[in-house]
Amino acid sequence: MTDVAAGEAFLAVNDLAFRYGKGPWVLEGLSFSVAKGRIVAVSGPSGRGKTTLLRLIAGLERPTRGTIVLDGLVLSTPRRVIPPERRGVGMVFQDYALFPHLSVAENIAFGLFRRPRPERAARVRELLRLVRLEGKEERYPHELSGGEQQRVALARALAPAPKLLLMDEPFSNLDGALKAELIADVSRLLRELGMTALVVTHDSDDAAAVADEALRLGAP
Amino acid sequence: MGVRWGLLAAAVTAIFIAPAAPLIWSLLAPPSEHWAFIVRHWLLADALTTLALAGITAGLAAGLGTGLAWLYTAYDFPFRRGLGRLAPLSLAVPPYIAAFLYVDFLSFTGPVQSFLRDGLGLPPQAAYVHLPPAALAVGLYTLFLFPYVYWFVLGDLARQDGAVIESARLLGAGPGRTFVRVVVPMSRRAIVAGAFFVAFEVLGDYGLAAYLGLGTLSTGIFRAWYQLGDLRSAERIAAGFLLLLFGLVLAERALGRKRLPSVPRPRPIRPVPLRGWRAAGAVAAFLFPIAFGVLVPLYELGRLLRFAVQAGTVGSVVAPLRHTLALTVLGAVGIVALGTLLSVVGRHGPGRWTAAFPRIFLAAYAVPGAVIAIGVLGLAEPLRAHLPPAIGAFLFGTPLLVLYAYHTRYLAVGVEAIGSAGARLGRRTVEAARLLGAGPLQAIWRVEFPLLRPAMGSAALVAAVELAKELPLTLLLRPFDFETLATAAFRYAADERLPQAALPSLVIVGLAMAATLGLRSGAGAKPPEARGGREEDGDGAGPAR
Repeated sequence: MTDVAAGEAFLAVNDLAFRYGKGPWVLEGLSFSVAKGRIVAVSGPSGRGKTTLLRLIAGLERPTRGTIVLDGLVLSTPRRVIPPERRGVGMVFQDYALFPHLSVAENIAFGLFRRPRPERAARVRELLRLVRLEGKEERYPHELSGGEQQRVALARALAPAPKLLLMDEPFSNLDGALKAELIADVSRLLRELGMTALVVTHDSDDAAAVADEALRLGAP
Repeated sequence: MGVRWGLLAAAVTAIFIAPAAPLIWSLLAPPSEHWAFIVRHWLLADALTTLALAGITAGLAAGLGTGLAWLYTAYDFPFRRGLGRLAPLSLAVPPYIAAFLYVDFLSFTGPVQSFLRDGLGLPPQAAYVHLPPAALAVGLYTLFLFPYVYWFVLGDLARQDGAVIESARLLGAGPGRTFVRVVVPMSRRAIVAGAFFVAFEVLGDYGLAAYLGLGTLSTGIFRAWYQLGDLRSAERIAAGFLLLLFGLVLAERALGRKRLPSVPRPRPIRPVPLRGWRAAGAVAAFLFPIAFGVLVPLYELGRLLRFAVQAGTVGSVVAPLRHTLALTVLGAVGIVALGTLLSVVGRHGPGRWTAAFPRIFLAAYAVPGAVIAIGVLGLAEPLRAHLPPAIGAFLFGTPLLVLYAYHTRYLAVGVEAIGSAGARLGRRTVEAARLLGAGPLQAIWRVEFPLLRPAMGSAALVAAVELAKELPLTLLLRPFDFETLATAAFRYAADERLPQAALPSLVIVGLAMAATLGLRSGAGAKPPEARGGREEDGDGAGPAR
């Protein structure tokens, strides 16, 4: 696994700094870039801003300083943040955050509301196949196991074909064989789709298994 | 606890549920001579009006309350906290006071039209502001009752997972779509509960409908009793009202779906800071209920009060004030004492059947005061002729019946507050005491009671405020020449002596506002049913506000 190189920047983060109000700085002048199709593991001790970095890239927070550029478009500056719904960034949360009142199929289809109905159904089917959850369309999140919920969350995030996928500790709620299986599936899936992704994880083995490159925050 | 306690709880329940008996009996007994007339000319129209008022108000209040609760939870804007605390204060103005305040405010001699004429130079005309009474009623009900929905939904949103909302946005849904497709469905149970609560309050109102000249089931009950002197028909109307309520309770069960299973550790929704015109819009949204629900009423009260002071009629408030104080103190003490008894026995009782008694009173909270009052009259009136004079004087010459009926109607306040506080305590502490050698009563007395005291205190305060505001029940059952602040305000207003109505109204509104602001939103500030649902589901979590 190599450190993030200054290749063709698909995602470029420049001098990114963040703090809440007048509190301590969570990020202090972070700069890196990610080439298209690469998977980057973001690691580092807890409390050093890994989740904050994802939230900034997702547009859920406004940077205190610095810029975020994706595919040539400036997504975030301290003065202007393009809203999350228009950034083309997908995210899988640590606790999956599935819509409890919608079925698996409806969850996955949520981001496809702009597409015509037949296309929606086809896309949902395709994603269910990719995450190996065929047959579970009508189930509800609380009826699924942790690993299955994780797959639904992944399928849901990938459905609208985002330019960039963010994953926040996707494997930390699982262990053992299930986890290894999920890591393998995620890795295969992301590469198959040519997805550019940032994966936050505190486990260096997981990072090595799923990613091409590493970004360490708070490293000396 | 021994069976004796269970029987005691049963006896208390039976005593205070007794007013239901004459009502049920009235459906079985033959109708009075006036009944056919009543049915043909009043009943159907009254029932339809009642349903329409309740239904439309519930819908509008649900929209306003849910919208504001969502704005508060999901977004950050200037003065957010202060605005969030002020907006629900309109609840402190009872509908029957709001009615005469607004009619005067908008009247020909009121400030609005005076301004239009004097300030803007428009020619004098009888009606620059001419609202059909039904429309004004719906508007006032909505404005002064929506806080129930606001609080219900606010509490529900506080326990939702913020990540779900953020997921929706990352999937391309803008704020509007997120609200409709995610927030509302997830909060459906709270929204439905709040809307029905508002509907029950509209059903229970008498003063506003009477003042605006609208015919509802409540005013129909008054009409049957006072104009026709026909208790039996009044009982029948009340009984029909009860059936209607029962139907509504079933409807609520059907509409509010089961609680959705929740995430083990939901991350609270993080408010998104708003800027520019969006922030201004949010502030304006909150200023709307504050301006019309708090500032206008206070302004009007002040304006009328000045007239009263000039005319020297201020002294008339002393006797009603004394009466209200006496009734609220006695009532609050009784409600808390009996409420504690019923909920403690309900939780620790000899069998599971004791849990039913507190629940019965939670249901009784939804019954309009007029209905309960007629039930009490149905019990008491037949005795009038047969009682020895001393007892008769005691029963009908003192506000004893009022106090009695207060318990039937408002025992829920005590039951709910003590019940949810007790549920949060759990059984462990009492069980530990038992294992250390304390008998069952001793354990409860020495361990639970001290821990329940704060809940008892705030329950007493909430009960006192509710009793001070109460109108229809007090009107029907009070002895001759006995006024409370509420009845004095209503009767002066009905006689068009508005300045004299202002002072008792101001006391009521002032008390209610102080209580709402002072009680931190927790055990105190919310009405019983706001918290009842949570306890029933037994998820054990304390109300998170």
